[in-house]
Amino acid sequence: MSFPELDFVAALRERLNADDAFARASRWSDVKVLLVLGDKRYWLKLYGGKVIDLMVYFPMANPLGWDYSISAPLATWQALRNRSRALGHLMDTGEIAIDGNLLQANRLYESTHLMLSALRDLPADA
Amino acid sequence: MTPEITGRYAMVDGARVYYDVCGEGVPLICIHMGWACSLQWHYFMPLMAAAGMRVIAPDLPGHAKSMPVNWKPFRKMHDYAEWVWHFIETVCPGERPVVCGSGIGGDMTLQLACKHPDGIRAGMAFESAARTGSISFLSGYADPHTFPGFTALTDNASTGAMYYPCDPRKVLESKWQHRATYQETCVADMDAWNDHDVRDLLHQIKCPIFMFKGEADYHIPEQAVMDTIAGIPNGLAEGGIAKGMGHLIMMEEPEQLAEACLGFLRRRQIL
Repeated sequence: MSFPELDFVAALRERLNADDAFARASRWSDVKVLLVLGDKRYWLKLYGGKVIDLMVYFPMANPLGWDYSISAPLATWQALRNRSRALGHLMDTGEIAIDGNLLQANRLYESTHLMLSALRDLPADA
Repeated sequence: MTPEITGRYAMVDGARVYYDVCGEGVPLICIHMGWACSLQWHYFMPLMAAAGMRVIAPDLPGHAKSMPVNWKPFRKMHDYAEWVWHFIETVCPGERPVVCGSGIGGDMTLQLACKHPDGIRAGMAFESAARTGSISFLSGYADPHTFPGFTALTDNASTGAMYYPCDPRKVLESKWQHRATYQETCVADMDAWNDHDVRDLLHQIKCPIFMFKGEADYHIPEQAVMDTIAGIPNGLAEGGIAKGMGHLIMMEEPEQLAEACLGFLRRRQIL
């Protein structure tokens, strides 16, 4: 498993689905989230407190599209994961950018924060 | 025996204000950070009171138990600072208090030192500088319908810049301290934080100033703090970077903060 490949995001999904705090923060979610890790794009379906589906995202091949995206260059994600930059700072400055349906994204702010905290803390060889 | 904190009310600029008081002696006004309230100081207050100070910590207008002036939160740091000045004139008139504050409270401390240079004995500004501004994207989110998850934002923005690892109970307590302030006020606080700039007024300062910033606090660059110290004339300013501390300096390490403040006040012969 290696960051930022699909198996890493699959492990991230497993971790989120085992997290009671994430379940509580996204209990009333029904959204499609695009997670952009550099040039890798992943589609996650959040529903009822769980990530119920995950796939690599190809824009023309996914008829469902997405509600909001969470994106940053690979170097930014690496700075988060090696803790040289704080998550809050990267979000405040827009270096990790949340875009799309912001009403949904902001409603689920805690869910995103927990997802990115898990992304930061998940070992590459978990 | 630990000095007791008691709560009081006053009228300032036509609005009811709540404030905590602890101890007897030289008045010390403690101004809380944006989004927070007087509870933020409750570890720090008895430590300063035990050293011979009358420590006074208000809830700023629109925060916790203080009503906003004219039912609108302040959006300019000058307005906030003038309110603090009126609060001082109400609760300790003619006493020339020491003023300390953190975040936007630190900004107000510097504004008072610049604009009322004979009115205070000393200023202690934490997590602040002559020019501030960080969370600059919030202006459009004053009304709840624009950002339904705003409480989660305040939870994480207020505690994300603490020094980690940190006692998880203090992290949780800090989140709760930021949950008593309405979203509109929080956004206005950030407008004021982004508006603050007294770089051209530092030469007016006449009292000793102590600047202190936690190393983990990403809301304020270290260079901005050091530039502020350098910009205050006649050797009146001192301070620097607080190792092992972050954004919520008075919550994370209140004993170390009090020790640093008391050292400053004694060196400057205020205590």
